[in-house]
Amino acid sequence: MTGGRSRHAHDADLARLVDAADDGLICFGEDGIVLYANPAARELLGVDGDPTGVAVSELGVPALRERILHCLKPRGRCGPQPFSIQVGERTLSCRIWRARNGVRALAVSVHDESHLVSHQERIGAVLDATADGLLVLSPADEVTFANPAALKMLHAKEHDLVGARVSVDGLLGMEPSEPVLGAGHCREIMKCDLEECPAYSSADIRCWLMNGTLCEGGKPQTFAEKQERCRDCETHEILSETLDVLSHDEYRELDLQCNGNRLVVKVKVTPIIDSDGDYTGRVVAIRDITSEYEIAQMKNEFVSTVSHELRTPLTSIKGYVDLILDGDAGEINDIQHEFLSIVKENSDRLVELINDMLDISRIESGRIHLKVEPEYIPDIVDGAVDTFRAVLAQTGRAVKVRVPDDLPLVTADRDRVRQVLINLISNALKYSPEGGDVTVKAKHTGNTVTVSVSDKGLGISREDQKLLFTKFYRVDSAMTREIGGTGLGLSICKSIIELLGGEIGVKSTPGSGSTFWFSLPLAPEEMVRKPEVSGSRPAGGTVLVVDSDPEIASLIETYLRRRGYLVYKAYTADEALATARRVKPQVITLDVIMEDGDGFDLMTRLRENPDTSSIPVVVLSIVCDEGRICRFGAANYLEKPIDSSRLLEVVGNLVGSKDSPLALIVDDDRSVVSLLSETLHRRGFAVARAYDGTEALAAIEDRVPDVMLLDLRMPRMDGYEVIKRVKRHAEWGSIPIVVMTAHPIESAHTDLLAEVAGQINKPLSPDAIASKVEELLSGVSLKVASPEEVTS
Amino acid sequence: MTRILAVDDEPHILKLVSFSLAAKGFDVLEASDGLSALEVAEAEQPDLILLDVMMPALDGYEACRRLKANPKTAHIPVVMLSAKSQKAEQAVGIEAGALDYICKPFTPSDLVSQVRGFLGE
Repeated sequence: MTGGRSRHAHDADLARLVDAADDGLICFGEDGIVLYANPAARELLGVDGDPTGVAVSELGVPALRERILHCLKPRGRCGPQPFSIQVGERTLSCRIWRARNGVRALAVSVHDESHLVSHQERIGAVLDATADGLLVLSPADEVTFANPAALKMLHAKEHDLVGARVSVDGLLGMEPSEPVLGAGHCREIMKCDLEECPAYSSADIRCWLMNGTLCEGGKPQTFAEKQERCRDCETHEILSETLDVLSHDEYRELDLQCNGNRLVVKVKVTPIIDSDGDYTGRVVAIRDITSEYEIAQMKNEFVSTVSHELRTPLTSIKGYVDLILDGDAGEINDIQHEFLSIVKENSDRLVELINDMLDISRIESGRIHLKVEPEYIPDIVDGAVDTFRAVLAQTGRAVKVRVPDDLPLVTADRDRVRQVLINLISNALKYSPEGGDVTVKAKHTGNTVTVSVSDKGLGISREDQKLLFTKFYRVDSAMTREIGGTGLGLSICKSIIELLGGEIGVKSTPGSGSTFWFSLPLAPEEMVRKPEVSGSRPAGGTVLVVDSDPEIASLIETYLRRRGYLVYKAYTADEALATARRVKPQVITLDVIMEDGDGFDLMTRLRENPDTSSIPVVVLSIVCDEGRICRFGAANYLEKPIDSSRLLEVVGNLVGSKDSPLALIVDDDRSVVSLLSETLHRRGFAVARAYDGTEALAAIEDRVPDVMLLDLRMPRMDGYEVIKRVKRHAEWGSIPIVVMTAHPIESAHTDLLAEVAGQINKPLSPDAIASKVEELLSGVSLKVASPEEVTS
Repeated sequence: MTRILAVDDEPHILKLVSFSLAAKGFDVLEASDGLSALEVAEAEQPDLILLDVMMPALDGYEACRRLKANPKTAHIPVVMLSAKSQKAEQAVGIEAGALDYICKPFTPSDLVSQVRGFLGE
C-alpha cells in the first residue's frame, strides 16, 4: 500500500467490501441499537430500509433479539458457536462477535443455510423411505444411525439399536467375536422358539448384529455352536458357504428361516472415508430379497419339473420314430422316410433345448457343481473331437487338431470344458460351408492356456459378435434358420468358462471365417512338474485310480498315462465300485483313507463282487499297516508320498509280466490317433503316438514298435517317405506297417506299397484295425514276450 | 436266449423298450410297477433289469434297493432308465446298487447296444 493513501480511503475500501458481501453483517452498540447493517443483512433479516439507530427489540427478528440482549447483559455469556434462527422461509446461521478494546459492542454475521437444511431433510426423507435397511456405524462399530427399514427388519426399536455395538465381523460370519451385550438382551428380542426351529430366525440376525453370536434360549451361542446344532439343516450349508469368504464391499446373501418365516437378506458393508482419507465408520446396507429368492427358486423348480415332464412324451415320439426309420417296423417309402426324418430332427432339437434350459437354470441358480481339477487340455480336446467321429466319417469332413503335447495343466472341470468344446466345434461345423474343415488349436501364454476353434464359414458381423453370447440370441440369416439350434449354447459356454475363472470370445471377419476361443488358468505350480519316467518300454492296460483327493488322483494319472496306461479315476467308494464294474481295469490303485468310508471297506466290497474280485488292488497310503493291508487282499502297497518309479514298477508287474506289444500310430489327425489308441489300449496294446513322418521316425528311434499304423498324407514328411526310410533301415525293416488312407494310392508309389503288411481305407473301423493288428502280431508275439527284451 | 425285464409305468415307453429289444432277438419280460418288478425278477430270474425311476407306489430307486437286498435277485444287474438327467440323480441310482444309468429320451438302437454292453456281448 502506498504511503499516500489516507486512513479514510482505507476505511472506505473496507466499507465497500462489507457492503458487497453475500453474508450479512450487523453491528450493535452496548445499548442494543443498530450501528450498521450491510445490504445482505437487511435482505436476510427482512428489514425494510436502513435500520441504523433502531433498537434490536424493534427490528422484528425475535430469535435474534433474545440472543443479543443476553449477550449485552453485564455477565451475559456469548460463545463463538454458530446458532440457527428461522426468519420466514429461511434458516440462517448466525455468529456473534464481540468488539475488542473493552467496548461492549457486538457484530453478528448472518449466513443463509436454507439450501443445506433442505438438503439434509431430503436425505432424511430418502433414508426413511428406502426399503433397504441402513445402519451407520462409528469406527468403534457403534450404531449411530438406523433407518426405519433396518429397525423393521431387525425387529428393533431405535433406542435399542442406536448406541449399541454391532459386530460386523460376526454379521459377516468372519471370526465370531465375544458377545458384547448380555444374554438377557438376546432373550428379550427372541421372536422365535429356537427349540422348535433347527434353523435361523430373524431374531438371530439381530442377535448376531449385536453380539456377533447367535443365541438360543437366551444363551448366546457362538457361530460354531450354532453350526454344530444345525448340521443337518440345509440352511446351514448355504450360510456357512456364504459366510466363509467375504470382503466388505460385496453383496452376500444370508438365508435365515424360522418356523416357516423365512428371511433372505443381502448385506453390503461400505467403509466411509472422509476427505482427509480417514476411516470414519461404515454403512451396513441390508436388503430383504426373500421374495426374489423364492421366485428364483420357483422358476428353477418349474424349469426342472417341466423338463422332466417333457422328456417322457419325447421319449415315445423319438423312440418310435427311430424304430420306424431304422426299419424295425417294416419297410417305408422314401417320402415317409423324409417326413419322419424331419420329425426326428425336430424332436432331437427339442431334447437339446430341454437340456440347455436345464443347464442354464442350474448355472443361474448356482446349483452347478464344478469338479475343478488339474487337467491336460490335449486330453479334453481329444475327447471332444472324438464325439464327432461318426459325423465326420459320414460327411468326409475333418476336425484338425493342432495342440502341442507340452501344454501345462490347467484348472478345469473336464466334463464341462469338453461340453464347451463340443458346442464350439459343433457350431463351427454347422456354419462352415460343405467340406470346410475346422481347426482346434491350443497355446500356452502367460498364466493361461487358450484353446481356439476356427472355421472357414461366413463370419460374423461386429454387431452380432457383441450379442452372440447372450441367451436366445441367434444371428438372423437364412442359414441359421435352416440349421436350427437353441440359441443357448454360447451363453452356457460363457457361464461355464467364467465360472472356471477363464475368458471366452470370438474373432471374426465377415466372409473369411470365425475363431471362437476360451482361456483357462494354469493349475498351481506343484501339479505341473513332469514326473520322471524310467526309460523302459511303454506299457498297455487299464488302471483305475481311486483317491478322494483329486489332485493326487491326477498326479497318479499323469504318471501312469505317460507310461502308456489308460487311466480312469474315482473319488468315492461308490464311484470306484461302479467304475470298476464297468471298465474292468487290470489294476486298481486305492487310497485306504477315503472321505466317504474306509478304503478297507471298499476293498472288501471289491473282493465280494464277482465282477471285481479278481482285479489286483495296490494300496497307496500314508497309513502303513502291512498286515492289515494284506489281510484285506491287497496285491501290494506303496507309501505316500508316491515314488513314481516304484508305482510304475508295481503296476507294471501286476498288469502282466509279459509286456504289451507296442503299436505306433502315425496320423496328423489327432482324433484318429486318439480313437485308435483307445481301441488298442482296450485290447491290451501299448501305444506310442506321432503326428507326422519326422515324429514317427523319432518315435521308432526311441522305441522300436511291434507294429506301425501309418497315415499317408501328412505335413512335413508324408507316409511314403516314412515307409521308404523304415524299409531301408537295417533293424527296422521287419516292422509290419499298416497303411491308412482316405485317397487312392498314387501310382508312383505302388511299388512302395508292396512292402507294407496291410492297407485299410478311411473312414476307419477301429475294431477292424485292431483285429488286423492282432492278426499281424500273432506272428511276432514270441519276439515280444521274450524276457530279455522286456528287461532291456 | 437272453432275458431282459423292462419296468416302466408308461405303457408306451414300456412297449418301446420291449419292442426295440425284441426286434434284436432278446426275450423281454414286462412289469409296469416296482412291486410286480420284484415278483417277476424273483420268479423269472432275468439276465438284466431295465428299471424306470419315477413310478407310483414303489419308485425305481427303492425297487433297486430291494432287488439288491434280496439274495435271490441281488446278482441280477440293474440299469436305471429315467428322465431325470442330473448327475446327482444318477448317483442315487448307483448308490442303490444299479450298474449304470440310461437317460430318457434314448435312441432305441443305442439302448440295444448299451444293453449288449452290460451283458458283455
